[in-house]
Amino acid sequence: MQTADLDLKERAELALDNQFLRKAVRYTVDRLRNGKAASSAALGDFETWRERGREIRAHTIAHLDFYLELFATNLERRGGKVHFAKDAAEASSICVAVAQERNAKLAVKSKSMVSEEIELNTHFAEHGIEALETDLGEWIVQLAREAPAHIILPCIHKSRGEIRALFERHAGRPLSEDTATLAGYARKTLRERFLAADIGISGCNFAVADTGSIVMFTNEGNGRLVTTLPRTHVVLMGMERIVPSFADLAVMAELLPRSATGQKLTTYMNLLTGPRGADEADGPDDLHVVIVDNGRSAQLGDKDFQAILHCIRCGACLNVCPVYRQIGGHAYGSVYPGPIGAVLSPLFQPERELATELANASSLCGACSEACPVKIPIHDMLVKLRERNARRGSGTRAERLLMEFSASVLSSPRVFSGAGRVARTLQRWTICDGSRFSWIARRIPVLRAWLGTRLLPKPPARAFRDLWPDLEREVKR
Amino acid sequence: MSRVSQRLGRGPEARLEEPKRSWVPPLEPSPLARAELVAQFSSELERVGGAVQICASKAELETRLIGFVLDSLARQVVSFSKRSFALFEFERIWSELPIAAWERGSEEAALEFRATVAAADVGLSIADLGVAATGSMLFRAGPQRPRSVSLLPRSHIAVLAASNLVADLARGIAWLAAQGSPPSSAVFVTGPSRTSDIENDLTLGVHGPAAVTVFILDN
Repeated sequence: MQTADLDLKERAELALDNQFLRKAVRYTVDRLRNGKAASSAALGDFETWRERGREIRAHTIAHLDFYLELFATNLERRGGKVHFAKDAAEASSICVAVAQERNAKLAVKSKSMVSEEIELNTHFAEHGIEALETDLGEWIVQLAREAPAHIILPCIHKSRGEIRALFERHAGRPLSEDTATLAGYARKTLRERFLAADIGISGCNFAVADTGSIVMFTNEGNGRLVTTLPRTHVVLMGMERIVPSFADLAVMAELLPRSATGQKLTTYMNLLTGPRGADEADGPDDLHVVIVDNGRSAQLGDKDFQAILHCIRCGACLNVCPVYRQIGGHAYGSVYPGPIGAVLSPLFQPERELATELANASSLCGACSEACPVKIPIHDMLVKLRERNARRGSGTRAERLLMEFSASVLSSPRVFSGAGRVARTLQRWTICDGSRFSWIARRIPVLRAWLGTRLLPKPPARAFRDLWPDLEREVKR
Repeated sequence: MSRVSQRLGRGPEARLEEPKRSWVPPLEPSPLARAELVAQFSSELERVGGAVQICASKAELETRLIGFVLDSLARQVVSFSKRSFALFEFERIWSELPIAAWERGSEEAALEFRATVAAADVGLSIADLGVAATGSMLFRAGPQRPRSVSLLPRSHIAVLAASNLVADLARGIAWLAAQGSPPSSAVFVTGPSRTSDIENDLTLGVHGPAAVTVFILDN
């Protein structure tokens, strides 16, 4: 699906027409959400853990310079190499340089949102290096030449039949459609590539400042293969991934899997500290950690948005969002979908026009903030972003006039009640709830947009203000 | 980095404020008895698709382990070094099973061992720790303990002493931290490799082991 040239509304309409997608998204988010509810209840007093999680993230981000320095020092002490990248281009060139130094032809990758952010695969391809996704969902998405549709489950939009077709084209022979056959084909094919790969590229969920460790939470085991078999391991790390110590990691390790997949713990929680030691049979000879800024440091010191760096990328906000539920991930048109994406994308890519409209893709119901395991006030940020957009003069002229008119009406009780009376009468005698004289509505843009999918409430015979004197007497009695 | 400090308004003399801690996960020894830890560990691991065999003596464990591997018709078993199993006093395993145990040596030996692991059906390892609340086991890499033994073969068998069970992940991580500088790799493994990427349908063994069996020594 090529959606790059469409605007948010057009992408959303495309998604709303896709019945398979809508069913799959609903099923998936319900499964993840129920899993989260059950596993967080099993932990006991989840709110206490959540508050502790918030404290850890807030403290770390407020002292990010200190902890980054500590992390870098400890990692280098253990033989790792640290690179700082100010933007996507620099991060990609560092990875390309490391790969070229090793004369690498094949890079195996485990899931990394940062690599999507910096479009690493494209840069590798330009330099003749194959970048192979090995997470099953990511591989499927790569074979289909698409982008992930969910932070945790990248290919929820693909049906079994589509996956079989992709694998058959890859295999050059027919395959059956059952999950075991398809997953078995992936295991066999990808295992050979793992053993042949020159370089492994992974993301990281957390980096422990105290020890210089990289921490990854995975289920399939490809994360372990990527970091064990190739001679060189490159970690792509968002600069805010830091936690101070193992004790803090213990808190995050209880929060992340439960919020992401509803598991008490993912199958593998891997703590990597430096390249392989002397006398060890396996593990990479070199470890490079690329610490990526790419718009993150600009949020520091911003009282409205610094807390977005607390995010641990669990996807819990996607799974409760009524908008994501209807339109899925691709309609957001950015690497990070859902409520968190609607905040991250415009902040990380202020130059991208597309991302600013994302703040409107929310009903501001607040379910995201309530679901967030580290209590980021996501919906407050969406309001702030809308405010920012309005100040910058986004929106149509009619919209601005309408808002100015509303402001003058709303600021005087007398004008407000008078205007209400006029509007009610006018509405009652013309379009009523929108079903009458629809040609009128079709000519007025605001009404047309509204009435395209729903009716207006019928105007009441008496306004609440007129009813109040009677009600007040009743209450007092 | 200076940009980070500048954005945060932290000059060169800025210090680390003492972090606020409203609460921390408890780390004192768990009140649970060993039998309760074994029971909880087993049920949690079985819930995620792992299998548990509880053995009352070292001799029983060795006999059952040999029987289990022979029944699986494995052609090649790979394991941590013989020395690393000292606690379990294995005698017959090394001769009765088609097993290649890692012995540290030259780079060529390592290369050869890696190739053997890649072709093996079963990996035999020893868990440093078991976590009862999640059914997880901790494996620290080291000169005696290659990472790939618990990763590449389709079947992973681990031995675990019941005395090495802790109540929860926080205590498991605290134990790891207390061992000093962390190993190059430490991994908490919770059951077999899994994915739900194809229409939310759960499959085991997409990349890592499809079967995880733990022999617990509870003597």
